Amino acid sequence: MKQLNEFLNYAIISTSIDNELLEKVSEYPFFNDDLTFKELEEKIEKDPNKRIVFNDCLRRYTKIEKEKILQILRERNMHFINITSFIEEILYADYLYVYDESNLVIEGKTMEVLKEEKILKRLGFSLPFVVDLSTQLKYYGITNKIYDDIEKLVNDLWS
Amino acid sequence: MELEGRIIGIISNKKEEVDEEKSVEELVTYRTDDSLKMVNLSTEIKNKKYKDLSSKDKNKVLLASKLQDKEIKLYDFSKGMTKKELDFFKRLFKRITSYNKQIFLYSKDAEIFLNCVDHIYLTNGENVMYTSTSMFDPTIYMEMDPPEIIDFILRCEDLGVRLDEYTDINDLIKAIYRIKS
Repeated sequence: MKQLNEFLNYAIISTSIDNELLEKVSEYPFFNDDLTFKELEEKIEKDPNKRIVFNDCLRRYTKIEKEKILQILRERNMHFINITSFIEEILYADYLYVYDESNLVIEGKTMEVLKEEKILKRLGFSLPFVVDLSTQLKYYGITNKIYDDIEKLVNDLWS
Repeated sequence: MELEGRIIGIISNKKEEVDEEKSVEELVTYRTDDSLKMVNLSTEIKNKKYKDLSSKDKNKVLLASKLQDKEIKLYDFSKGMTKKELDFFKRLFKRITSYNKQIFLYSKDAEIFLNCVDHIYLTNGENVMYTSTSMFDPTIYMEMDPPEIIDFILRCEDLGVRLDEYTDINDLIKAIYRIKS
């Protein structure tokens, strides 16, 4: 991975989250899936680092809890790398790396990478639901853009 | 406690304790090669230590080690898996339960429950607090997010737009198209 932009949040999806992949970001402190939401919240509030790594752990929390975590990070001017297998979570990140095992396949701004649907599907990933739905609705002329927020899509669709 | 259903979803963050130093072969003791193949793993990993496996392969190994059990308990099984792999395992679970076995999926990832489980249980660790057979029952989402397609349909319902209980995005798109055109 090249030098990270200090103002961006990153996501990494991979067909295999293993030690070799984790090694690529080992210079940053890791948060694993052994923490309750309260524990994670407290740890982040005290963390002195400017960037942390979520090791496929955000899936344990609800959207509301994830939003709270992101809010704390924003307030503390901290950024994250989210290693995840849960495709919906990549929408929290500005920049996305897609790996096949530990080989980098594609990288770029998250919404740009999501245009490479064929590559993602070949690796076994789907598009995030809201992106997939709005892409197809746009194709049928029902919406005029691709959404990354389900609430906005629902509101625009039925307003 | 005895729970009703063949493939049972239990909303829980519970994790399984495993001796991480053990090799795959030490964990999958019964018909090792066949069991590994059944869960889509290469037999070449037999000598690897559990701790050195990727998160998804760890879950596959644990499933392989339990294929002979009457009650198969799996914890956070979707961790590390792509959608394609999850779809494979949902089909495998149905095949396994056709041999008169029960599968218990402990997870807070509702996507693994969708089009898979026949009963969902909300527990407080020991007692069942609530049970449902429908993924469209809003009560089950007190401690877990709904799958995205269900979230979308429930949000539409809140705005007074009634859509059927679709679990396939293509059916949903057709329904929206019918309403909008």
